[in-house]
Amino acid sequence: MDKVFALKIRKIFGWITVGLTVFLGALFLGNVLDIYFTGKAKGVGAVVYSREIASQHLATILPFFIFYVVWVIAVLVIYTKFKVDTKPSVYSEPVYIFKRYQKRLISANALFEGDREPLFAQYNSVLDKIKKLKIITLAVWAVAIIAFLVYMFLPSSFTDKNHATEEVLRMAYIVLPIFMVAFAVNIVCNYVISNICNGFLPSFKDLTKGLKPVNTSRFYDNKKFILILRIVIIFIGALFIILGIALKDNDGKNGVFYVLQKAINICTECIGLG
Amino acid sequence: MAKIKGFFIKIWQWLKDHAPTRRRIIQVYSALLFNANIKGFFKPNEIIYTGNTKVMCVPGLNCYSCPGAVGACPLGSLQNALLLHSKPTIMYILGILVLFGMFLGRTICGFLCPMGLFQELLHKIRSPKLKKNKVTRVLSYFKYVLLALLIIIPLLYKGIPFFCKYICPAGTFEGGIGILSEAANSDFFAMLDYLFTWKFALLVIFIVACVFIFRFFCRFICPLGAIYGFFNKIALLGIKLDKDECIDCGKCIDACPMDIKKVGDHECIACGKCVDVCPVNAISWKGSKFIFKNKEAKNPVVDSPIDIAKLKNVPANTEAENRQVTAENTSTSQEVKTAINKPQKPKYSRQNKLWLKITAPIVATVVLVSALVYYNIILKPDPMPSGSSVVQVGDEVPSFSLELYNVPQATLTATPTGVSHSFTAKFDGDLKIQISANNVKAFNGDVEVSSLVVNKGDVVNLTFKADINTEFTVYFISYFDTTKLNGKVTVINFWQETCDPCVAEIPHFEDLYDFYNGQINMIAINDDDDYTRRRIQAFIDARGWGDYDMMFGRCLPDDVFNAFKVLGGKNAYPITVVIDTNGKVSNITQGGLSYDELKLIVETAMVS
Ligand code: SF4
Ligand code: SF4
Ligand code: SF4
Repeated sequence: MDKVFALKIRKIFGWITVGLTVFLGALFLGNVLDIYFTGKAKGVGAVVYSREIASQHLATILPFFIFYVVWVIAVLVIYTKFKVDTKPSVYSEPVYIFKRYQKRLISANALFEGDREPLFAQYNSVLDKIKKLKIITLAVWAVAIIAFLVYMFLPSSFTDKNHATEEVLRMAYIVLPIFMVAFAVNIVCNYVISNICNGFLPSFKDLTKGLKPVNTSRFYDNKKFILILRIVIIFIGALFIILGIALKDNDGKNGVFYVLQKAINICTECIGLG
Repeated sequence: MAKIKGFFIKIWQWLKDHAPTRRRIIQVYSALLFNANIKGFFKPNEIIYTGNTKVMCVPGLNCYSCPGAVGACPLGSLQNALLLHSKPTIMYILGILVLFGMFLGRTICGFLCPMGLFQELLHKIRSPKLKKNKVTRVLSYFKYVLLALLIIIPLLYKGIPFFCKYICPAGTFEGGIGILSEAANSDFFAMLDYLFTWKFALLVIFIVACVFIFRFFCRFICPLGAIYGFFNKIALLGIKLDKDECIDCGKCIDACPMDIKKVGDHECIACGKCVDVCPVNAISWKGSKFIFKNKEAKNPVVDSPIDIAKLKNVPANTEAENRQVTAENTSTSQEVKTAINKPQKPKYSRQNKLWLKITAPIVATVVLVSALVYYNIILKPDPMPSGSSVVQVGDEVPSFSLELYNVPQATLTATPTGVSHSFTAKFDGDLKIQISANNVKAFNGDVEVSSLVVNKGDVVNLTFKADINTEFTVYFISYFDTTKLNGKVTVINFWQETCDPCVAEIPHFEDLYDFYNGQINMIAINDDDDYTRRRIQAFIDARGWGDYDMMFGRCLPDDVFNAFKVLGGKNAYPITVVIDTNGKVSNITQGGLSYDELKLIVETAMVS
């Protein structure tokens, strides 16, 4: 079968599935919000959710849901019919390739001379720029984390012990925007770094021509160390379990008791009921 | 005939092509094993399994409120341990997590976690998929932020299982929807409010996202995966990369659906996809040495270095004397220009694993079948009935009794001359004096007493004496029972200290009690099976509830009139039962109440 044609068919059906999936999700979302806000509008003490209300709303979605399931199965068959063999590709993010070239630089233990000297100087300036961007990223994350920790440990935070949800929401209002900024800065920096790397790749290729890649070893490459570490960690894990069972708290209960108590009692808030 | 034969051959071929992988079989197997209490989904008289196997955590994210769950969820247990500030519990859970992580790492995610399976099945829906990129890489660290919140919030702020309450879709899906779908649990609907709306919306978003983004929840949200990720490099099972063999071609990273930077790093879930694409067999399973025979292997992609060169369409020895890589074109070309002239390392043959092929499925099947038979056939039905309470609206209230926390407990040191302790009684009636040390006696003036009759507001002065200096704790206990209803509206709230809605609504009860100025009975009680008196009293005092005018009480497990058993008696919180002036049950509410809602219920009970 013509590969281009098969790809086209897959694309068309695939994108329709995207639309249907998002639509189905929106239907569920819309209905749950409808139940909630309609219930709330009825005033204090009114029934918000009930089995009947939920069933009525589910009944409106059901035909589309059934259609969706049938559609998904049909597309599965279509994809099998219009099979396209794809060869394994190579991960081609510029930063990744940049790192691979860097591995080769390690084997060049002398400074570059001759025509490679300016390239090497260029490489260093690129590295400098990348470093600066990484520092910016780290700095904004550090600010976000410090802001979070300061908020958490401020005596004025989390004072109203009887209204946990409000306290968490208050924290989210204050801390979340800072994290969003950090996230946005991180993404922008990543894009800039990626562009810088991409721009330098052809020169980097020339700079590292003929050099062998060298893998630097890390702590987990040392087999003896890893063996000892594993034994120590297993020992600590086992010890913790034994202590958890053997030790008792002020009420004479051990760790197992509380795990069991929590597991056999439904805490309705944990499962999102209320 | 030939046509029919052809048809069956086609079907057979299709089945062969689409047969589940071994990983998929193990995923389904673990999901079944962790939720072996299948009858929980169908038996209306049992909400969840309440047996002893729940002392053990399962390795994956599997909600313990799922009707089928037979083990505890490690993440839920960790949060509970942190918010209880109970050192033995924290140690026990950490020990379990450390051992799981050390032995299996994120192989748990790839093979054993039911949530992982659920997400992968959703991703099977054929549609264009979002490939990993710089944004997903950064987002993959978000789960560490959630892990930090999950640890810090319960430690600082007792009472919030942050992740369970606001985020976990496993809880909403397996626990919440699992319970709501059972007709016998209809009264749970009454408690649904903003929290359910939020969590259901989040669940829908997660599900839709999983169709387009591989393991959306695992990659960006799951703190359990983040914990296991710390162990990935040193875990006994998982994926390992032989750096000496690797030619840096990047095919593994391209094939990997997770946001890895290197094969086997903290993001790797040991799915094994990269093993098959590596052209030089540099990737293998940890521990394969013990399972496979050390032999020259048949490489699934290529057999020898010469073939690699052929495959890549470049002559061997293009650029170097020894093993050397010429990967200049890797950014653009599919043909990785690789030249290798060193013989490959011996690999581990699969011929020798026949014993494993036979014994592993037999043992696994026996374990699963035994679990299914045990939980569904042998095990007696759980006595814990479904629904929110034993009594129904309109029922005559049955006889019940409970013990009240009248006066705060005190820890003192008795001396031969005596130590005095004074307090103001909060309620009328008998006050029993319970002392934790046998040799300590209580005196009212010169008279030895074990109980007193007090009126509300009485200032009582007691002296505690012992032959030698003895530290002890004294508890002052009052009782409340059906005879003390006095024709008043009585509000009985069943609560637990680890339940946030329970804790949030108690101040409303006090406010309403003050509003009616003692014209109603207002009691908040919890079950002594769960938390002992000392713990609860300390909790009450820490919240400043010790000064409240309403009553706090507890039930004794061996009391036949135990209010928990005769009125509530369920394993879901909070529940509020309101008794009207005629001694009939006028309202039962499952879930938290606001002040206005509570007032409305009480007003209704007053006029009935
Ligand atoms: S990341 Fe979490 S949800 Fe995903 S497979 Fe691992 S434990 Fe399960
Ligand atoms: S493809 Fe390889 S590196 Fe990626 S998750 Fe699977 S096993 Fe781990
Ligand atoms: S596919 Fe194999 S050779 Fe290529 S980078 Fe990955 S581990 Fe190395």
